[in-house]
Amino acid sequence: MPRTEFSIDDVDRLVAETGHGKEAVIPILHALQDRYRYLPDAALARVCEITEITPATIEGVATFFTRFRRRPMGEHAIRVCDGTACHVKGAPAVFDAFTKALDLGSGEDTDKQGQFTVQRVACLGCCTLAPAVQIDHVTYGHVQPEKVSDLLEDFLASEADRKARPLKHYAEDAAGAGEIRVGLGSCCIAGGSDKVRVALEDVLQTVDASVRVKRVSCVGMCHQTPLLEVRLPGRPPSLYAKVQAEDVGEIVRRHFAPRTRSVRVRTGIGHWLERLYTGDHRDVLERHGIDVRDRPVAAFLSKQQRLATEYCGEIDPVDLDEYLRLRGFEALARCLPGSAHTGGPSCARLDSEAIIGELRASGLRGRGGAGFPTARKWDAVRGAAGERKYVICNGDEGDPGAFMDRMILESYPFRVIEGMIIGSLAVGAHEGFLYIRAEYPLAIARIEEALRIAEAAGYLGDDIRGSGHAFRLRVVEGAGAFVCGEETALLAAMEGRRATPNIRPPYPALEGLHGCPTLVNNTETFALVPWILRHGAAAFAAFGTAHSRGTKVFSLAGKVNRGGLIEVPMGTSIREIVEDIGGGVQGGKQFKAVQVGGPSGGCIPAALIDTPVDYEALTAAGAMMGSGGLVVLDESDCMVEMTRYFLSFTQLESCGKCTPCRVGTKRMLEIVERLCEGKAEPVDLAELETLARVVKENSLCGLGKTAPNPVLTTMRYFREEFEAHAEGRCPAGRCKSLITYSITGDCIGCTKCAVNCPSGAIAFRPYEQHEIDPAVCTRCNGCFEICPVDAVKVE
Amino acid sequence: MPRLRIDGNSVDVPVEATVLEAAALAGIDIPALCHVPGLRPQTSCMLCVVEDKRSGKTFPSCSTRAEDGMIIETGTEALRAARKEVLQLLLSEHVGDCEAPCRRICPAALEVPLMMRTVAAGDRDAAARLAQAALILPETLGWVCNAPCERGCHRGSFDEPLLIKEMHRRLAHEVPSARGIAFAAGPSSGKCVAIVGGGVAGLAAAWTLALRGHACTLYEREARCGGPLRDLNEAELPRAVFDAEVQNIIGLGVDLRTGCTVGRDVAMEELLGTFDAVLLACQDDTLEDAEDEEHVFTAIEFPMAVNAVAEGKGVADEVDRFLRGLPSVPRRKPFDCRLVEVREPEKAAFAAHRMDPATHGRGRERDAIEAEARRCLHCDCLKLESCKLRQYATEYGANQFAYRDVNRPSIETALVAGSVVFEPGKCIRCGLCVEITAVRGEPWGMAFVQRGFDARVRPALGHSLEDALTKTARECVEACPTAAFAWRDREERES
Ligand SMILES: Cc1cc2nc3c(=O)[nH]c(=O)nc-3n(C[C@H](O)[C@H](O)[C@H](O)COP(=O)(O)O)c2cc1C
Ligand code: SF4
Ligand code: SF4
Ligand code: SF4
Ligand code: SF4
Ligand code: FES
Ligand code: FES
Repeated sequence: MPRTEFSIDDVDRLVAETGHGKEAVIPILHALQDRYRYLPDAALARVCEITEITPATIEGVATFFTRFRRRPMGEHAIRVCDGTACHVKGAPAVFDAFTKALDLGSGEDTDKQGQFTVQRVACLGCCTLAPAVQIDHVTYGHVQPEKVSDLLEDFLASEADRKARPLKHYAEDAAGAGEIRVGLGSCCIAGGSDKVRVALEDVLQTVDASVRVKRVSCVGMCHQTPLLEVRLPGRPPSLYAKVQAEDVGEIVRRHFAPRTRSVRVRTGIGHWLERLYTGDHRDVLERHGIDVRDRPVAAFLSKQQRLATEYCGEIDPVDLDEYLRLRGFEALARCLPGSAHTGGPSCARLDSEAIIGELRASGLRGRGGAGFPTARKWDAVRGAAGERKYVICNGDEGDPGAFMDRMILESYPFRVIEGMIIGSLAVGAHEGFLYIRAEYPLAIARIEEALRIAEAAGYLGDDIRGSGHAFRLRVVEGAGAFVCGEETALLAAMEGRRATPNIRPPYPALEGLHGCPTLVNNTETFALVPWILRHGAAAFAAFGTAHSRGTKVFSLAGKVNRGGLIEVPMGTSIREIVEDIGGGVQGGKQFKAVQVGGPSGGCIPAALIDTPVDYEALTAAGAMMGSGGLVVLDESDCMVEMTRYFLSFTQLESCGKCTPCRVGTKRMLEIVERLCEGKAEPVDLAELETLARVVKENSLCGLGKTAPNPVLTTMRYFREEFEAHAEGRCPAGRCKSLITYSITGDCIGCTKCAVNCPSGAIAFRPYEQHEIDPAVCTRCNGCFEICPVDAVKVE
Repeated sequence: MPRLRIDGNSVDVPVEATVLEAAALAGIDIPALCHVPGLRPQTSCMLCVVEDKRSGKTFPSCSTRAEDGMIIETGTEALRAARKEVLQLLLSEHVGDCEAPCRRICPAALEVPLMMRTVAAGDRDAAARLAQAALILPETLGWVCNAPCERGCHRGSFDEPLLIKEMHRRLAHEVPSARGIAFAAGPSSGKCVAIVGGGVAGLAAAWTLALRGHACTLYEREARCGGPLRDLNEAELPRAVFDAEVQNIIGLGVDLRTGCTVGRDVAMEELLGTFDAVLLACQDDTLEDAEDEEHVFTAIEFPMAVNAVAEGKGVADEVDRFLRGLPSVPRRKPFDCRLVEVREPEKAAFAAHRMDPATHGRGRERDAIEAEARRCLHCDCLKLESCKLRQYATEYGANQFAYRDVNRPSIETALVAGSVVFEPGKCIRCGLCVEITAVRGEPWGMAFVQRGFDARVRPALGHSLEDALTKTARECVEACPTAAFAWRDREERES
């Protein structure tokens, strides 16, 4: 695709399509960037001429968000995830590998041919497939540094025939025959499920049975993607994991009779299904056919309680009929005035007061991090004076290592929409928005599709289901800034300003979007509302602890056997989550800590593994519920390095408005970097602690107030590791400047390390003991991992 | 009307008032950098934090409404520590010199750049007076000083340091009238001081005290004043030069008793009984006992003359305060931000708005002091006096180098538009100029660009500073809490 040249007419047309108001600035910049792949100065100047947007605003906004570029960029964007899960699984090495593969000099991000631009991003929301990489709109999981060239080739090759085939909708009458369910959440797609679906449709041409292919919501077993489930009437379902396109024929033929004999003969030859069951390895990937009754799967599922993620893995995200069949919109029906619906059981209609009363009784607290009582917020907006009010769903989920909201938006769009409509009834709003981060293209597409369907069916619009209540919903796409998750920053972005937070009070509930009362809730909070109204407050309150009721969705990732999206009752202990649901630490390593709440949270050490997940207990332990990312760390993870990672995240994401956060996070990071490089002194530890407290106490918004948490908790629980670093030692052997690699006499001369070493630090000497040149070694840990006899020593 | 308590005072405030405004009503000044009355609070500097004892919360007072029943503390230990830390964070990335290095280094604190400006402007008289006031023995020092100032001179990074020492020597020599005309003993205070020791420190103290109206008697053991300077030969310090400058001091009415040793020719007890204060500016161990007396002061006769001048002035100041019954609180040294050095790659940016193009690439001008003075880069800050960052840094004792191993950002070229200078390195990202240009409807205005640590302000979309400030220059200069925005025509210090 050649680069599009700038023209005034072009810009005028894009602006005409997008809007002229101040609040159009981000959409206009998105449009320009889509068109030119960067933001030419001349285009920005032109926008200022023909809109209400001022030069200072457009430049301020264009340079604030990481999605926007002021430099021309390559044809394809490679986004290497450096979220928490990916980071601990080796994202930095993947990034370096791309830099090398594209032959980029320092400071360069685009190759000479202008084909690829490499960027680091925070969490693609596919944490269980870490390390993850997104090229344009294609996401790759489990990327290995030494395979990035293949990956680029694969991308270019498949780019040609990536004319995505639309999903066929099968008639309802296919019931009675079989059904094959394909997970089409981002994780599954990153695992290759779209290719699987295409292959499946091809293969199904060859079988007799009328089989329905159904895309389903995320199963939550993201560590096993892509997942494919075969359901035949009267038989237990068969679940296949880590399926590849070329495997599809085998699976289908196992369950359905082929049309011709020749095909049947061929099936006799392939034995891989057996291998799947025995857990044999094929290629590098391990694949399993798994059964829901299998012990591990049962363990994964049994401790869970699906409320926000009800019908997980069963429903088609955008099939409204199915949603209705499963009692969707029933809660709404009870709330609509002069209900045209037959409600569920003979319940009285809920007016706004009753809705809020129900939420109050349920004890629901906001799932966006701080745990503010939802009923109180709704009540405040309801009581606020104002003609216009807004309802906003916060789907910005920037926490690197969390992807619950993405999954909820992708899998249960109607549920979120229903929650928002109920919110609009409760507070008296007629307009609402879903602010979704740009890194979630699938979530945006799904929600937009669901909005169209819901509107067509009369669930949105000027007169919802004949009730007279008007409510319109729109998607607003983010542009890459973690701080936008903070509600006042989010509002600033929506109003077309730089996304810098404002002091609260005034709270958005009273003075929000354009100064009007605004209800801002997290995605999961909204998704829980229909369940509560349908089952009653008591049913919800029955789960959880005294002050944290109900369930919480977590994304479980890191060094755990079964990562994925889980929903558990509040009060479940971390031990149950890690050991029972997650199946313990990967590779039999020692459990060290679990990082809860991402960059605002902290690390809970092994000694406190029985801490229950509830707002107060986590805060007391120095962590924070945050958005609900759980990243499991093992003995090979260095806590100082983890601290450095989180600080570098918050430091990069600081909006830069207030001094303590803008400069303080930078100075803290410098100290921690010194620790990792062995250049620190013991006095640095005291300075770090003092500074952390000042930043925590004096920052303006939650980002700065919580940025020191990772520092303070790790220093609290792992002080000896910090002290060791101050003396120049890294006990976990992670900090590159503090460690050296060498090969011991156990070496059998297999040459694997030499072949694999990306920097050529190991000479190729078959059958001899190998040696590592410390001057060339980049400490990528590749040799350590590949050595079959553990002859590589790290010190 | 909300009523709240601030530092123990009860105040009633208008409904919309902020805590900062409420405090002002109670006569309490809360430090604030990013807030000026009449503009929306920016809530960026976080210097104005206060604590509400009722809720235990700490928050910025400039943008928090005063509420009934609040119990506000504005100066707890923790708040003061936090403010100091915040200032240190700002200073850790601040790029600039408050004082010019020459002035900073000169122990007698000669306003070198001001002297250079005055000479360059053609006013030799004023320049000579300035040197006289600061150095007391400007011509003598012009011979004997080892001129540490010149070693710090930033011009030295380009070609050669300014001839500072020669400048004040020649001014003193060529404008002798400056002494007689400008300086006379002040109106009599009715107090008398004995100064023991006629070395440089004693002389400097005598001059200073005489100017303030105290009757001074100076005791010198030898036949001539000057301490070690007496031993210099004619090539090192012409006798006539020194004698003239001593005479200058005596001319203020100082009673000089040469050849008179205290403890032998006159008893110490007598001095203690006769004089309101006694200043010991000699190295005589036998007098040590007297030091315990409340009205006895000691000045060290430093071997380096300029240090001795500084010491004499400083101790004289203390004596003066004592005589006037003022408490002897040592004045806190004003905060002084330092560039440390102009690095090789920064030279062009540093010189851009400072170097007179006519002097470009020219070394020292020995022949004409005006030409030499034009070489000065005027390294002192344009807002030396009114800079709020500096004032608070002084008040809170902030240290620019509190964080180890921090490399200050590089010097950036200043933007100049007519009479306004914009120095990006001194910007604390408070946001006021962005706000001002936006609300006044500047067509381009100042923009915030980038985010986080890299956030900075600059004229929008690559426009010039002229374009950005078509009508708001004055307002920006006045609101900007530092010298990031300043008048090119600098504010001179009152001395
Ligand atoms: C730095 C920062 C990031 C945040 N990110 C998110 C987010 O990604 N999603 C979210 O719902 N809330 C986020 N929040 C919390 C929101 O400000 C707000 O409290 C929340 O959306 C309210 O919804 P709730 O009451 O349903 O939790 C963030 C807060 C801060 C300070
Ligand atoms: S705490 Fe950080 S993110 Fe929040 S306003 Fe301050 S600088 Fe911005
Ligand atoms: S702006 Fe203020 S702190 Fe900075 S150099 Fe000038 S006077 Fe000093
Ligand atoms: S250039 Fe002028 S102001 Fe700067 S150090 Fe030298 S004499 Fe002082
Ligand atoms: S230049 Fe602007 S943003 Fe910077 S300190 Fe001055 S007024 Fe504040
Ligand atoms: S996808 Fe990389 S951390 Fe989430
Ligand atoms: S004056 Fe209040 S934050 Fe700066």
